Amino acid sequence: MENFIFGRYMPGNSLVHNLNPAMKILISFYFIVIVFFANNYLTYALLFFLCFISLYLSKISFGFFLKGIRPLILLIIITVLLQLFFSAGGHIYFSFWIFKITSLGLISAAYIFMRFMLIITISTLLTLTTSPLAISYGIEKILSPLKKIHCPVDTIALMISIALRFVPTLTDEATSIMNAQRSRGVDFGNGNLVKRIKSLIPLLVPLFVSAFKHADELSVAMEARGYSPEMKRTKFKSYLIGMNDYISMMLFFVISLMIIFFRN
Amino acid sequence: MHKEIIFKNVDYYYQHDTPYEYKALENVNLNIPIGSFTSIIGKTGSGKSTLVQMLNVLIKPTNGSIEIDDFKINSKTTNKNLKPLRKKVGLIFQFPEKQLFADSVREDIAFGPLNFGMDESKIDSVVEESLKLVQLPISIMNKSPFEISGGQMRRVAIAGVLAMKPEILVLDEPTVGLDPKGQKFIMNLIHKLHVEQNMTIILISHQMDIVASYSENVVIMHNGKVVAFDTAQNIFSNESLLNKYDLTLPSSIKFYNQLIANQLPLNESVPMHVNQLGDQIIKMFSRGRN
Ligand SMILES: Nc1ncnc2c1ncn2[C@@H]1O[C@H](COP(=O)(O)OP(=O)(O)OP(=O)(O)O)[C@@H](O)[C@H]1O
Ligand SMILES: [Mg+2]
Repeated sequence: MENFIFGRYMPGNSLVHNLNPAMKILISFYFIVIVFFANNYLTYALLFFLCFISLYLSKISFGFFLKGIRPLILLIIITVLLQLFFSAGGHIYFSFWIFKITSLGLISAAYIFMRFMLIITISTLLTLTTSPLAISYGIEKILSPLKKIHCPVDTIALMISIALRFVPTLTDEATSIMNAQRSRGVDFGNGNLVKRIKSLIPLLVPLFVSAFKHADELSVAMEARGYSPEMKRTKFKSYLIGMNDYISMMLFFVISLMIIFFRN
Repeated sequence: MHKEIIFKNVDYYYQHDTPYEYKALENVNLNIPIGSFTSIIGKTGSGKSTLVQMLNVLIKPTNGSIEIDDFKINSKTTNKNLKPLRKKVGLIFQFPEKQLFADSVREDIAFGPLNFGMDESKIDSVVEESLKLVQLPISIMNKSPFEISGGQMRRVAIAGVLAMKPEILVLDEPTVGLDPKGQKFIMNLIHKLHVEQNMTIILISHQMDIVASYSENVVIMHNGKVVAFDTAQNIFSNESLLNKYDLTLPSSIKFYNQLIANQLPLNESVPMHVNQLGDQIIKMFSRGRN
């Protein structure tokens, strides 16, 4: 669990780290959309090339990255197997009871696998290179047109950044409570299902108690310092859109044009 | 049966083999005598809590090994069959009241003993006995642990560990956040367990007055290393050692040093407790009178 990197942030000072967060989030979504346009090996190769460049420019080591997304492999394998055994059409290589391996099944399984890898790579890269604060800034920027229709975008962004801010606090808390209960003889993740679920109670009750306590303390502290949702807020850190942002936007745009050109 | 808890060349890395890797313990060698009262001091982040968590295999040494009785712990120790060890070594964490979860105080105290397979029929007497040890009224038993005061919660949590009848009791800053009376109560309880039940005590504390008054041995940790291990008397007589590791003297010794600096003829060893200092001063005056 310690090595699991999906959704985590790794501070750094690379070109990818320093991109404008709003732009980075938009580009990632854009990428996920164009993944679904790819439908032959050349177009997938282009997308992998794009991932490869992004990962290279982020200065995150490939070995670390691959090891980090390994826990997701199981999920991918199950989906790929379902695709492999249950999609019909084309030449039948092998059949047993309700399972069939067909040429079309093989191809669509390969495509599903590649799509998964691409989407996981780009979204992991997004969270690895963007701090929680920057993500909430980016979301605020992207949603800011909604202010026109009186949607409380600032408050939503603040909620997101507070939630993200407390993820590590709560994981630390969970670890320390788990340790305390372990030394009182709890075996987490051992025994049958009923036993396992029961062993969660001594973890979840204190965790909820402490989460509510944190929320309560934070809201009191914010009010004591005069927080009001109506007030306009300034930013401690502002992000400009620079040359690198334009270049990467161009790169993604050009690749997506190529994909539309080369797809069957 | 070994007479010591033995740490042999213990290293510990948090998040080993990742870019976040952090070396929290480095080549720790330490023999803590069974039956002793040993305190661990050192400035914040020096690795004290990391060290004691290994005594319950909550984390395993990355390199090296630990021996407690017949248990040998190293990086290859499996998570099976740890219950006998965890029953033997009771761990009281910083802010132990955070671990309370049950519907009633009784249930929470009974939780540990039941997990370790104690007979249902003995539970009531064990719960009462533990409540008596921490001097809480028996009537508190049926209350929810969330409707009693913070100080009482701390006592209930401690009672929950004592109910497991550990032979070795490890406490991570048990007095932090309590009023002076509450602190004194907890320390006297620990002292009593040590003297009356011959319990091995391992105490982490930042309060030098407490450490000096109660412990027999003292371990100093610094940047993940054990840099000193000696009797409390020897450690606290060595002011330069303490200064080197950003530690302060107990107030009794500070005062003693001032008296010495003012040419008062206190010729005994440094006092570990204000009462000792008081005795020395009284003796000095009665010597003066004769
Ligand atoms: N889960 C963790 N992941 C990464 N590093 C950690 C973790 N827990 C502790 N550390 C680091 O290990 C070092 C030792 O921590 P430890 O908690 O053992 O210190 P300590 O001596 O108990 O300090 P304190 O007196 O503040 O309780 C610290 O520098 C800390 O930042
Ligand atoms: Mg600590």
